[in-house]
Amino acid sequence: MFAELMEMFRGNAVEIPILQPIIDALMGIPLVNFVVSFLLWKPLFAILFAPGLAALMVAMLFIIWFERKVTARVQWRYGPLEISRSLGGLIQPLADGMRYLFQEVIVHREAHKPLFIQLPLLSFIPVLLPFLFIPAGTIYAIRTPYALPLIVALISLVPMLIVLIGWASNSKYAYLGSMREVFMYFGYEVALIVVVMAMVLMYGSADLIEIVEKQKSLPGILFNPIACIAFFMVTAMATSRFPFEIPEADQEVVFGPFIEYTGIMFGIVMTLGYEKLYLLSLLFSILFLGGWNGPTIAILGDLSPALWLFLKTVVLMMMFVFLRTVYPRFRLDQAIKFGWTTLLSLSVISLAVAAVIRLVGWL
Amino acid sequence: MVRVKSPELNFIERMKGHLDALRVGLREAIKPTRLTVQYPRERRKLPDNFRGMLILDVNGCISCFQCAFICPANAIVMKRGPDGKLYPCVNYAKCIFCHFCAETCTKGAWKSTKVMDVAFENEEEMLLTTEKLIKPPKLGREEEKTVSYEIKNGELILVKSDKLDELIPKNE
Repeated sequence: MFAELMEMFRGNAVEIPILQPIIDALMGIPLVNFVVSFLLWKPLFAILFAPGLAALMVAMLFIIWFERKVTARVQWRYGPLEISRSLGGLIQPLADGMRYLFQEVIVHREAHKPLFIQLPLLSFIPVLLPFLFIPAGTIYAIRTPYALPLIVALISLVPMLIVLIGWASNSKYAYLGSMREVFMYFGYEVALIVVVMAMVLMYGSADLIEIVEKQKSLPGILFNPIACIAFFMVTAMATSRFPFEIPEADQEVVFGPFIEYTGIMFGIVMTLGYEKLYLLSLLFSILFLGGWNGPTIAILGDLSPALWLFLKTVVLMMMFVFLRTVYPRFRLDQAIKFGWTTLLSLSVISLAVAAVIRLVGWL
Repeated sequence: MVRVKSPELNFIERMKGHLDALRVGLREAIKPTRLTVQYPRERRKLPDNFRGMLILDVNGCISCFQCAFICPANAIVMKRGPDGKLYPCVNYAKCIFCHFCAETCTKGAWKSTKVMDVAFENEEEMLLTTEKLIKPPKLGREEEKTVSYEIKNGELILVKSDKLDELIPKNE
């Protein structure tokens, strides 16, 4: 049975020429070779390394540092610096994570204990499941013509979890925060789905690999810039980036739904927004920026398109967190009004543009 | 009564506002005009005659008690020296660094230093007797740069130099 499984893993393995000597050396050792070939099996590699968990963690650690640093620079401060002066405090998020790990996790008396403890762990489900359908070049787990709707549906589960977290916390600010999350969810979700459907209409397919193939010559942003703007705003709203950082407004409701969490539990729920940002930025770069199209780096092999996708995603995330330095926070009613007027009309216009492009047959 | 309305901006003006905000943010992100002095590693250039810790020139002291009289915090007490004259001692638990003593001294026996970040191990040590006062305070300096604020083109900027500030004036 081992041999059969090995056959299956080796038949669909990620090839990285630069690491090939190490892989060959590990292949000589019994049992280790099974683990290595299992990890290099493309479906698992997609979820665990790129574009999945490992890339997500790297992007998140970098982007949290970058957010604090760039905000500090614009506000004439220094930001994280002391923990590694030569790197400009780059390992500060890692140090924070370590500190969270050793802090006590307090479950307060009023909380709904089972849900309160298990929901932060369950939140990994809607965050990691979309990686099954997000390809990075040749690395993908499942190729299906329904990839885009599935991803959007799974990402839409995150607000449900946040609302549940707020409910299980059973406290005043958590209640206010989850109510705000619900209202924001109503504000952006329709526009998000309309924009995504516009892109599906424009490309004539919901298969992400096909969509990237169609952007070989020109990125999609040039065909439908209105959809791009609408998707950018929707992402800022969906991940509570700054002009719409309403559910977690720390000056008003003190991290809203996450207020009662301590220790590593807080670390997990706090990064939920960043994970969602990573997912939506991945979608953004695939839909509008040509995904993993880019010059091939021969020594990286299969990892080269994944690297291009990762770089585009991180640059996008940097743009999103940069908004924090410039914008103040909207009121809840202003944000919802914005969602139901500007965003919705922009997304409907982008749908019309996509229909025109489809009818003329430019793509 | 004057009723102030919120300004009605059209689309182009609003977009201009957004772009302006982003431009300022980008400029500051690339080249921040921050004014922070990173204290242990940098030290601000202090003006001359800064009111820091005191040094007593014991040869100039004529035991006139003026410094002890004027001290608003009662930080100066006089103690008898080995030659029978009375000399001042400063209690830094009380001293408010006002330098009235230095100003009132008829002989100019009090000398000022630029040392203002003072630390003692316990309260007894904070009473500096005359023997301790005549020696300059012990320094532990970590800074590599001296920082000063300057106005250039109407904007406040921070100028860093490698030349370290002289905290204790040299004896003439």
